[in-house]
Amino acid sequence: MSAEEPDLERYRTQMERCYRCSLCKWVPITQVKGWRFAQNCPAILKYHFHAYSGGGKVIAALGLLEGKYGITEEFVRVVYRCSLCGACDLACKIVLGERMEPLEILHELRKKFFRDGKIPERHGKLVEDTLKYGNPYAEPRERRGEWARGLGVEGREKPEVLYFAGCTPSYRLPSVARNTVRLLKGAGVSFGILGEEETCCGSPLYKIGAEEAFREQVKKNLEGFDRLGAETLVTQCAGCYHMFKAVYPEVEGMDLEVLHLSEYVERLLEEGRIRFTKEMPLKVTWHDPCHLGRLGERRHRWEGREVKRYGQMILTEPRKKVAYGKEGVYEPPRRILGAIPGVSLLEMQRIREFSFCCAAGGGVRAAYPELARFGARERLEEARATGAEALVTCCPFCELNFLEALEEGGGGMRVMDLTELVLGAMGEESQGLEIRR
Amino acid sequence: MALDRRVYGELEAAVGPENVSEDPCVLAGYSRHWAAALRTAEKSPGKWTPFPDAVVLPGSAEEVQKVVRICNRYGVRFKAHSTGWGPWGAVSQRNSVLLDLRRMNRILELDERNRYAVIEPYVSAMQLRAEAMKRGLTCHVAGCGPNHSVLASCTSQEGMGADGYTMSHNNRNLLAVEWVTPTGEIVRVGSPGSGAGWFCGDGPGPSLRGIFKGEWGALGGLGVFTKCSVKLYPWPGPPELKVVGEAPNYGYELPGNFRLYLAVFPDWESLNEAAYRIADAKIGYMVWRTASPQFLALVMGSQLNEEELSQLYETLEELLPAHRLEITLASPSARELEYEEKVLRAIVEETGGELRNVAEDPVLSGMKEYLFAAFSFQNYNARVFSFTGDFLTSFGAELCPDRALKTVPLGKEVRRKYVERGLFVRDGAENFWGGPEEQNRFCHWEGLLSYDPAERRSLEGAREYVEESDRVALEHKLGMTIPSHLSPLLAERFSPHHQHFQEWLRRIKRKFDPGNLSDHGYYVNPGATPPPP
Repeated sequence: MSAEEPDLERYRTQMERCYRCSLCKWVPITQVKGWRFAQNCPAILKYHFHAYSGGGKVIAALGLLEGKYGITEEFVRVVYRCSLCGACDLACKIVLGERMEPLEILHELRKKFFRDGKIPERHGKLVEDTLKYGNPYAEPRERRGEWARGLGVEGREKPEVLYFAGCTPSYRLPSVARNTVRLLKGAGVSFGILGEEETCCGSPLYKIGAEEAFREQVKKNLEGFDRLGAETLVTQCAGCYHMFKAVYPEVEGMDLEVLHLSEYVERLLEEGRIRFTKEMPLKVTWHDPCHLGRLGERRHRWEGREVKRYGQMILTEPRKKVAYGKEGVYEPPRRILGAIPGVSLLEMQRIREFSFCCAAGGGVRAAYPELARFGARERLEEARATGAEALVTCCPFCELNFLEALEEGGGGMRVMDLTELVLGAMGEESQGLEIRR
Repeated sequence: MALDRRVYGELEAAVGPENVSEDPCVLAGYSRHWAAALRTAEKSPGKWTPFPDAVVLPGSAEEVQKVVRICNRYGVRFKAHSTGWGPWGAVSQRNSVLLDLRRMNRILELDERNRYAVIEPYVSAMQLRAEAMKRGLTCHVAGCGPNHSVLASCTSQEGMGADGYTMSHNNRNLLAVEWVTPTGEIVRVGSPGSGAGWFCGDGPGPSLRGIFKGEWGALGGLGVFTKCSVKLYPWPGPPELKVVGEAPNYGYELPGNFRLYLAVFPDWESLNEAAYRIADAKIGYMVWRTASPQFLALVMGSQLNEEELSQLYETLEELLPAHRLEITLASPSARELEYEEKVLRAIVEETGGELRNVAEDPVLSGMKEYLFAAFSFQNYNARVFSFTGDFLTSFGAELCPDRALKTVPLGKEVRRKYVERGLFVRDGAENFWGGPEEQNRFCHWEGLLSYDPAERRSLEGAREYVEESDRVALEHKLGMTIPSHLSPLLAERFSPHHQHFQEWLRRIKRKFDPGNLSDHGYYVNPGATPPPP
C-alpha cells in the first residue's frame, strides 16, 4: 500500500517515532493546575480508547501503512471523531519538537480516507452542499447577504477593508455579522462585503480531506477578493481567519492583509477611531478558539531532510521552524476586554495555545454532533468554574456549538460574541446571539 | 485470532458494548511501545508488541472483577493497563484481553491531616501533585515524568525519581491497596481490609504487599490493582506556581522561599561525600543529578539553529560540569532557609566543590525558571525520547551510596565505546541520572542513552549494550539492572545472585494464579524449570 500512498508514506518515520507517552492527551505538564481540566482532547475524553488520542491515531495510521489492517468503520469514526484542533500537536511537540507533526499526519490520513471514499456519510453531503450552495448548511446562495438588510452596506469598489462574514454568521448567527457592521460603521471604516458573491472559505472541506473541492473554494474566493480590490480582509470568523491567514498562503498565495476582527478592533482603538465610553459591568471568561489561537499561526511548509548529528540525534536540515501555536491571536481580545470599563476577565485553566477545543470543527458537528455537544459542555463547565457570568469568544462556529449545548440543558452561562461587548462599550446598539434556523 | 463470540458478548455485558473493542485500529493503540525492541530474549522485532484480542474499559473494581472472572471461565489471558507508559502496559501474547483502566481516574480522598491520597489507576502524578499542592502537600514523581499513573508506579514498578531525597520512591510510598486477584477476588490489603480507612498498607487487615509486589512489582502479572493509597509529603511552596516562559520551554517562577543551586565537585568521590554530609545535616529539599551537560544542551536546543546549538553544547559542557548535584532548598521559614544555605555552602566548600546559585549565574539565570521546572519537578523528563523517539536506560539498582557510585565509572567505560562508534547520541562521556534517596539511605545511578530503533546498527548497538551492561552489573555486583525488568528471561540471570527470587515469584504466581491467566510476560515464567541451586 505504501507505494500508492506517497503522502502518508512521507510521514512513516515520524509515525514510527511515537513512543506512546500519552502526553498528547494532556495540556503541557507545566500548565497542569489540578485534576479537573488537565486533559486537552475532547475525543479521548469522551471515547477513551487510545486510538482516539493524537498518538493513537498516529499508531493506527502506521499500522494501516504497514498493511496490518484496512480501513474499518471504526477506523473511520476514530479518524473523523476529531476536530483537528491541534491540541495534541502542541503537547507532542513540547517533547519531540521538529521531529513530529501529528496534525499533518492526521490531515494526511483524512485525505487518504476521503480519496478512498471512507468518510462519514454526512461528510459526502457536506462537500456536495458546499460546492453547490457555497455553504455547508445547504442554504440558498441568494440568502447569503440577507443579514445585511437594513444596515446600509454597499459593495463598494476598492474599500479600505473587505469584511468577510463567513457561512455561520450569514446563515445561523446573523447578529454577529450585523454587530460587526455596526462596529465598523461606528468607527467610520470604509468597507465592503461580497454579499451573495461571498462563498465558503473551504475550511470544512479542507478539514475533512476533500482537497480538490477545497482548492475550488480557494480559487473562487481569491477571484472574489480580487474583484473588490481591498487591501485588508477582516473577518470575525476564526475558522475563516485560519484559512486565509494560515492555509491559503501555503496553497495559492494570498496578497491581502488578513486580520481577525479582534486585531482590527485593537488597531481602531489605538488609532482612536473607537472609544469605550460606557461601563459594562460583567465578569467574563475568554474562550480562545483553536482556529484563532494555535491554528491561527501560519505553518510554513518545510522542505528539507532529516539528518543525524551528535551521533544518532535527528535534526532537520534546514532546521524546521516548529509551530507551537504561540503566534496565534491571544492578546488582542484580552486587551480589548481589559479596555472595556467594568469588564473583569477571569481566565479558564486551558487557555491560549493549550485552549480546550469546543469540538465542533473538523466536520465533527456535522457527522458526530454528540461529540460536539460533549466538547461544548466540557468547556462551559470550565467557564462556570471561573465564576464568570459570560463566556465570550469570537468564533461563530464555537458560539453556535455552545448555544446548541446550552439548549440541550446545563444552562447557567451566557455566551457572548466579542462584538456585543465592544458595541455596548461604544454606546452603540448591539444584538445578542440567537440561532436562526 | 478473534475472541470467542461468547467471551466477547460477556465482556460487552460486563462493561457495556461501547467499552469493548476488537477493531484492529483500536488494538494497535495498545501495541506499540518504547523499548519493546529491546526484549531481545523474546526476539521482539521493534516497537510493535502483540495485539490483544480485545480491549475493555472497565469503570469500577466490580467491572474489573467481572472481566477477570470471564477470562478465568474461558481461559483467556488478561493484562491491566493504566497510562500505558512503557512496554509493561502491553500484552505479551495473543489470545489476551487488555483492560484499559482509563475510566477509573478519580482521586477518591485526599487526607491532609494524615498525608495520604486514595486514588484510582488513571490518576497521573501531575494531577495528584497539583491537587496536593493546593493543600500544602505534594507527591513523589517517578523518573519517567509526571504523566505516569501513580497507582501503577506504586503497585507494579519501583518508581524512583529525582525528588527521592525527601519523597523516597513509590515502592515505599505505597500504602493500602484494592486488588482484584488473578482469579477474580477483590481483596483490600492493609487497613481498608478491616474497614479502618486507607492509612496503612500492613494492617489492621491483611498485609500482602510483599506478595503482590516484592522489591519491584509484578508488572501486570498478578491481577489488577483498582485503588491504592499513597503517601503525600509537605509542600513548602504556594498552592499554585506561576508559569512563565513560552512553549516549548515553559518554566515556573521560583517562589521566594526556594533556592536552586548547582554544586560542582572535582570528582565523583567528593560529590558522594557531600551527599552524605548534606543528608547528615538534615538539609535540602531535592538533591539530584539530572543528566550530562551535553544532554541538557541537546534537549534545550530544540529551537536553535545548528550553530547556536553547538554553542549551547559547548557552553553547558563548561557551565555544568559532570560531577554536579542540583540542589533545591525550600523552607517556609526564612531563617531556616538562611541556615540551610550556610550549611550547604560550608559542606560544598569542605568537600572541595563550588556552589552556584542558578538565579545569580550570568548564563543560567536566563534559564532558571525552565531549569526549576525541569530539575525540581521533572516536567521535561520525557525529552529523553526527543532525539530519536526511543530511549534506553541501564544499571540503576537501589544500593548503598558507596556501592551505587561504582556504577558511574564502570558504566561510563561500557557506554563510551558505543557513543564513540556513533551508535548512540553523543551526550558526553557519561549521562548518569541519579543521586541520594531517603536522605541518602540509599542511592540511585542510572545510565541514560538515546538510540534510534529505526537504524539497524543503532538498534543492534542498544541490544548489545543491554547485554554488556548487564554482564558488568553482574560481575561487579551492582544489583539488578532496570532493563532486566523488561523481560523475565533477562531477570532470570540475576536471580541466582539475589536469593533465587525468581523461584519465589514462581511459587507466588502458581499459588495465586493457578490458571496462569494474568499475563506473566513481564513478570515471571511460572512454568520454567527452577534454576540450579
